[in-house]
Amino acid sequence: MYAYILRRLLMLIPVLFGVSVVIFFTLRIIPGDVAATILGTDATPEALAQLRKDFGLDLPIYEQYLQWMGGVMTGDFGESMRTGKEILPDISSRFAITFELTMLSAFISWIIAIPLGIIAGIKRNSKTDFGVRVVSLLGVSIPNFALATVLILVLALFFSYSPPVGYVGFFEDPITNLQILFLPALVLGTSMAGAVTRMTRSSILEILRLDFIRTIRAKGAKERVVIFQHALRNAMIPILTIIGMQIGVLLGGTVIIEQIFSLPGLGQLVLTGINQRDFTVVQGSVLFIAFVFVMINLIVDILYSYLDPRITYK
Amino acid sequence: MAKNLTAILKGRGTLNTVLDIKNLSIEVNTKKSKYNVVEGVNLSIGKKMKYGIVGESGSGKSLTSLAIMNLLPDVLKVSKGSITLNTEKSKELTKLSKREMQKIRGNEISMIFQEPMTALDPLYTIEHQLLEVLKFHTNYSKKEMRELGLDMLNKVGISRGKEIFKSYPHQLSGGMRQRVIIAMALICQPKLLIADEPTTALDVTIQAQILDLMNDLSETHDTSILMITHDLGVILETCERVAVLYAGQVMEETTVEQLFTNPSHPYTQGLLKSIRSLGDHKNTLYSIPGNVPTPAQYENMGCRFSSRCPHAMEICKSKEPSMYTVEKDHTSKCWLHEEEGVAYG
Amino acid sequence: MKEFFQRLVSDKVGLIGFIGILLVIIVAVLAPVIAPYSPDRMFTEHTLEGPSSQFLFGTDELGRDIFSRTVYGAQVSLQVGLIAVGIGATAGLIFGLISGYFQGKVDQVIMRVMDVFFAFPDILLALTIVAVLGPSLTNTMIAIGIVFTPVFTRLVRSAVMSVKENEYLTSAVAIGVQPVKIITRHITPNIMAPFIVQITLALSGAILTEAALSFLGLGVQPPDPSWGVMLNASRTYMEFAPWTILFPVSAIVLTILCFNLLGDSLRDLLDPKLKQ
Repeated sequence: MYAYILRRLLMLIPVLFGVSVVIFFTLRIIPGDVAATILGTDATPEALAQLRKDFGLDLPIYEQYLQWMGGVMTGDFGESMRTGKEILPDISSRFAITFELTMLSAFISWIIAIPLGIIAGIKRNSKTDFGVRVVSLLGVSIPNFALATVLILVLALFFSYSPPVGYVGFFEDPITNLQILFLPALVLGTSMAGAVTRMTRSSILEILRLDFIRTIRAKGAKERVVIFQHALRNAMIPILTIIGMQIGVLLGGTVIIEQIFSLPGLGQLVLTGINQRDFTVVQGSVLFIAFVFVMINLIVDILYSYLDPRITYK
Repeated sequence: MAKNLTAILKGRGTLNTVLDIKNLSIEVNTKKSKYNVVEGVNLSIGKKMKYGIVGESGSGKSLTSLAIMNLLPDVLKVSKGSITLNTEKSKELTKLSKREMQKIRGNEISMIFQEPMTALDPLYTIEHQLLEVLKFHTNYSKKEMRELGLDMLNKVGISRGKEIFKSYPHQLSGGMRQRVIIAMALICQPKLLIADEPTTALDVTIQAQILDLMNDLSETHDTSILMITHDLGVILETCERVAVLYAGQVMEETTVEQLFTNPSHPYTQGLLKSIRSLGDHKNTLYSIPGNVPTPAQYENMGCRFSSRCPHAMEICKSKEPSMYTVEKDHTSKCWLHEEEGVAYG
Repeated sequence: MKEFFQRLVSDKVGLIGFIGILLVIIVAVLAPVIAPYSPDRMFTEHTLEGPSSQFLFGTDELGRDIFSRTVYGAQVSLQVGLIAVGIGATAGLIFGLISGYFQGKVDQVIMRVMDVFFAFPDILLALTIVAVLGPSLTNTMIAIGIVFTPVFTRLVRSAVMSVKENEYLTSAVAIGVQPVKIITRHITPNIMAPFIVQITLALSGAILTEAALSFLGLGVQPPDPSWGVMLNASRTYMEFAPWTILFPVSAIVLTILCFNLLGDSLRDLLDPKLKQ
């Protein structure tokens, strides 16, 4: 088992290497002089040259890359081109917010979607099933930013409520923290719930069609045992796949939701970085998010092999 | 006098039989269509008897067995008739509640399905899946269950029981899995074991072993067997009585001996001819010409075999024949028996 | 093909989706006829007015007719959808065919590159690409096209591999049919079913991503009438002028809903595993 995890970790190295190359080089093919965009058109040639030198932009591009990667390996993500601040501390403090938001949203979506999907699957073609299918189809058709906007509008119009401004860390004041994060997490969670519900329902349906379910019924199992011990456990494998994929969607969704709810998370950092052409920040944050995403997928894969005895660790 | 008594008892069908199916019809009921896929089936399975149902795919043989277990798919339901199980008390299976039926499945009636490769839950160990049956139906302690389970595995010819207990289905061969499934089916000592093509998916060499095993075990456990198969060879090897099913109806019902020596229904004759031609190198392989009608065509077609029957007469295409008693213990559903002096064979 | 359409028509849900998409297409094509005003025309006397007979959906903060902008927005959405998915599907088809057909080292390289792209959450990858190319309609389409390439590549590759197992192909190879011919004659027609389903789903994904990027200010640029742009611009005024967001939101949701309806029904029709 440990050998398997270790091997999977080793397999991530080329992927992450590829990710870093892609991010770094795409951000370098931007037309125009980065230094000029930062300093503005009326900057002196000396100032431009100095800035280029400060950020190593005068070096050959592969050397720039090696320098950056060397730094990243030792935990130095470089400094912001705008503020000159070190990037990594900023990333990690903001990641705490994004991570909390992602996990809360995932949790909300699971507690909504998995039971609904199971009920709909079991009571196939019933009114309940029909209702769940309509709602989940609407769920996958409403983009999270639209849901957020409409929700804010409805709360403002009918309840005179507006989402709190500012952010308080969980460890400073858990209650205020959860109050702040609740609405954004609800939006992200419900907008993801549609897809998970659909997947859960179709997985349950597919499993219930299999031969072994009939065998278990023929053994005299109560419906409860058939569903919860056998059908659900088997359905967990495809459900887990969709959950893993959805975490990526959630991480991406945080970029939008953090913007709408003014949360100082990692997504917002990327967005400001892009808008201010602060590429050291963008490349650092995107690399970090990709790393987290890849790690989450690894965890999903490990859970997979834990759930399914047919998967060997070799 | 004694003969009279048995006749009376048989008429009641409670003492000598384990299962009585009377006039059973199964109906497909969807928004688009509604018709019978099984119609007017009568069967009586005696105690310790090995009873066979033979028929092509689509004849309704598997549906009949699923109807006994009350495991028909959602779109199908028993529309007419009764299925009576006679154990300590007589129970009308079509009228039982879900709960009551669950107590019977795996306990009083067990079922073995065709595909051993997919019949077990891939995520649980053999131990879990075997002992599960005991958990559903008995109050034994964990230890007693384990002992019973190992003993049962031993009986089905698995000696390394403790090792097999820890394995998952994908680690076993098809023959091993079918043995495990038989163990599961017999562990509660059911009165009736339904085997739906239990050997079709297995290697030829293993088929005979599995059939022998079922035969032996049913004798030691006093279990009746209902063997569902498309293969007359399996019937010959294992059964005492047999019903020939065609297009959802019983065409002929008799002892296995009489079926092979004196087949009365043209369909049965065709089936026998096709297996006999197998061993005969001089002739080309015989097969019954034409196709099985689909359930939608059943209505108004007279005898359902008439479209393929070499002896078909005018009446066959317009009017359905009834069951005729050809000889003692032998019935056949064919207009030919209406007239005298028809040569069989 | 005819039978396929008959079945599609008999499936009411799919039909609703299909008709809905047809309507969106008609609206987009006939936008100049349907829209009463130019999407950019500002009625400075009529800013943030509610729906009326003159302005069916009301006006925005610059006095532009929201109905006209919503109608023209359909053009943007469809254009982005078609071109972005066209880019992604074509690239995916090419890479997938090469990868699945030749396998070996070429396959290894292509699939590792796709793995790298899979390591980015979709929207983040699109954002980064747009950031590099600069926000504009064209670049949005390119970015979304790149984001969708890996999905199509994987799909086509696995379909090709399973088709390749078939005996008739082995024999085609054995009698020395040219690889290109094998691909065009034998493999491509066989992978159409899952490919079409994926295209339908990708179309709704592309429209959604465009709206999201535009919403963030990194997609279509104002004053172009993208639904995402309209939504973003109205956020400031929505409390006093709810109609400014109501109509673009409805347009996005209904369009995506129709694509999802059609996609679901196509998948049920084309996926042999679900047929009963």
